[in-house]
Parts: sequence; C-alpha cells; structure tokens
Amino acid sequence: MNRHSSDVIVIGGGNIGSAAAYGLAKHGARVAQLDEGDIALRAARGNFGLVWFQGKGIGMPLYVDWCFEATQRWPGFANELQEITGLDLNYKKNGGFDLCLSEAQAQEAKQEVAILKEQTTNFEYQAEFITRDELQAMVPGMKFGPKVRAASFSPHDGHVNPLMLLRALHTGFQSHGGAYYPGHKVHRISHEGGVFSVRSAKAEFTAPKLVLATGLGLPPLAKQLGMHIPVAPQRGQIMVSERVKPILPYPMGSVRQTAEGSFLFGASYEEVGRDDSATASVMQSLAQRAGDVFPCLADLRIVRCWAALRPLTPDKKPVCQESEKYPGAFAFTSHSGVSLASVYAHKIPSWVLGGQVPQGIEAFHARRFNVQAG
Amino acid sequence: MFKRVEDLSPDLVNLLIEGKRVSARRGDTVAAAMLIAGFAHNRTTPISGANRAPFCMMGICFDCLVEIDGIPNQQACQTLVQAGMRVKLQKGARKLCHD
Repeated sequence: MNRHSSDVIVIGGGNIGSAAAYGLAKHGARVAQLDEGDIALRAARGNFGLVWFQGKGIGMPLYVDWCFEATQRWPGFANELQEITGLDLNYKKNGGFDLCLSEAQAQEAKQEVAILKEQTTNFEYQAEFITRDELQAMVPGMKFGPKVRAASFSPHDGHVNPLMLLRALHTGFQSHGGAYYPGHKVHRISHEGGVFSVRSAKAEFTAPKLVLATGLGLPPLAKQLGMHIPVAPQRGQIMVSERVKPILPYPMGSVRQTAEGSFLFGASYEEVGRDDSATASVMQSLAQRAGDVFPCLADLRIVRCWAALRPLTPDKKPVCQESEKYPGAFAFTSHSGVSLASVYAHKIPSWVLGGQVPQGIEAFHARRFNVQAG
Repeated sequence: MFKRVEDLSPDLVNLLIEGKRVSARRGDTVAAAMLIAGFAHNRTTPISGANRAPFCMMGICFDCLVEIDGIPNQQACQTLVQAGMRVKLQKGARKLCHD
C-alpha cells in the first residue's frame, strides 16, 4: 500500500474542498486532496453558476456576513485564479434580480428584504424591492411577461461558469504544489499520536490536519471524527438552450445567459433521495416559467438538461466546525459552494494552519441541529 | 469535393439552399445535401465571423447550424431534407426577440 504524508489532507474534490485545498496550498502548506472522482454525487458539476448574495441568511447574520464578504472578495479571487491558471471563469458582477411571478411571491420578497436589512448590523445590506415598471426600465433589452409582478435587486449578485471555477481551483491548487489524488474514495479515518490516518482502497495518507468537505458523503466521515452533521440531498434540474446573441446581462435567480450565449433555466427543488436523473415534468415546468418570464424565449431550442443533488443541512445553512473530540479535524458543508468559494479559500487556511478561529464561527456549528431529549 | 456512393434515383427531393436549387436523396440530412452540393461552409461564428462547416455529423458539435424555413440555429446534420425546404447559412449568433 502506498503511503503519503503531508501537512493537511483535504477530503473532497468539489468546490468547497477545492477552494480549501487551493487556499491551503497557496499559503505554503503541503496538501493532499483526495477526490472520489467523477462518479461522486458532486453538486459542483451540476451547478447553475450564481454567485449570490440576496435572500440568503434569514435568522443567521453570520451567513449574511460571509455571503457579503464573498461578493467583495470574488472579483479579486476570479482575477487571481485567471492569472495563475490562464482560465477565464466568465465571472460577471452586474447585480442580479429575483423575480416575483405572483402577488404572494412579491409580498414574500418584500418582507425578506426588510428582515435582512433589519438583522444586518455589520454593513449596509444592499438589496431593493422594485416594481415591475422599475424592473423593465433596468432591463430594457428584454420584455417581461405579464405574470412578472415585481423583483428584488442586489448590486452584489453575479454569475460565473461553475465548471471553469472547479477546473481553475484544481489547476491553481496543483500549480501551488498541491497533490491531487482522484479515484480515492475514503473508507476509514483514524487518529493516533496527533496524526490523522486516512485510508482509501489504494493508499494511506497521514497528516496532522484534516479537512472534510464531502457534501452528501459528509455524515459518515464526520461521525468517525466525533461530529454529527446531518446532510440530505435535494434535487435540482437545469435546462440549457441553444446559443443566441448575448442580450441579458443580469442573472435572474432562475434564468441566466452565459458568456457563450446559452440560456440556463433552473431553480427546481425536489426531495427524491439520491436519484439524480432529470425528468420531463420538471423540464416542462422550467420551460413554462421561462416563457412566463420572457415570452420571446418560447421558441428557443433546448439542447441539454441535467439534474444534480444539493447537499443540504436541515436549515439549509452552512456548517463549518472543528471537531472537539479530534482537534485538527475540520468539516465544511454548504450549498453555497460557488458563492462562498472566495471566502473558503481565504478563511480556511488561517483557521486550519494558524488556529485563527473566524469570528462568531459558533453559529455555523452543527450542534444547532441537536434536539434536546425529553 | 464529395461524391455519392450510390446514385440519386429513385427518390429525389428538391430544396433551396441559399436560393440555389439543390437535389438530394430522400433520407439525406441537410448537412449531407449541402456538402455534396458544394457548400464549403454553413455558418459564420458569433464572435470572429469565421466560416464553419459540419464537423461531427452526429449532433454534438453544433458547427452545422443553418436557418431552415425561417427558423435559425437548426442542426443541419440532425435534420432530414424535405421537398421545398428553404435553407440559409446561419450568419453569426441567432438574435432573440425583435432586436
């Protein structure tokens, strides 16, 4: 059996694991990143590509703070990755809209903006509820359908090519000297004398520090390190159109146009276990909604569709924690893997390597899910 | 440049490609009909305007895009010829709506 020793082992090859691995390698650590491979139930390969701020974090100010910091860091982060790897991530931060297609949705959006403004004290929460007329004036290039009632807008929102992000993180990690091990599904983790030992079918890896970022695969690995972190799958489906002349500069939550000209339609939510197949009924509803939003898209040709599974905690908010039982072992999960990538790459290295605990991090601990007995 | 392995008879279909009358065999794809009729390209790219011809002939590369009967961005290699079809080169990106 091959043996590899390093300063840090990162388990997980998706966006969070790769952002962590990239940041750690950039800070000079010797890092081994273990990736199950393309067979993994990887949210990072099915992502819609929003770098999103608005609407997130009701009831958890720390999440709003991190989302805000992420949007502030993203432009520099995208440039840095592009300089190191030569890859264009197609990151654009023009602001984004969340559309309301009914009066109920409009009321909800209005309330959400008010709550988030009220609960945010560390910075000025920038998102506005706008009327249909204001929306149409801001997006003169495309006519909205009659069902669109209102929207919320935030200047912090943006979008990116999520596959290029993942590739750039992997490439950037390796150009900082990181060692990437695909095809290493982890079976067992043990700890002895201050050293973690991680076994796959092919090799054994040892390091004094360990980062878990395995999405839907997190609960069983975290359990081996004394951490109880519930994560469940939620299916999302995406439809992609033929390429057309760029006309929509803003991502709209469920609709965006890529740099190449394709329209992406998404935002479906299903609890169907680990079934990641695409279905005709959801495609129909995505197509229906697309036509409701922009009637002129009705005859657009659809060329591809897919489904993927979001890893969700019970409150849909992130978990970031160090194991109390095995200090030096950390666990991260979130379905904001793209949006928060810039923050993970920045905060995880100083925490894992330097012991600088991020302010208020307790709020992200999974003990918030514990139900008291009796 | 291309020659048919079998002759055109018995089942002939006439269509218009860029205003030119072209005969094809029933069962041909539009891409095949264009290649054998001597069209060296079927579209120009959205960014640089470079000429493109069919590359994969199996529906993957999207280089064979043409306008058929007024509908842009059709995959010529995935569309069978029909009598009276009007085919035009796809020039640049498809435009949306009324712009």
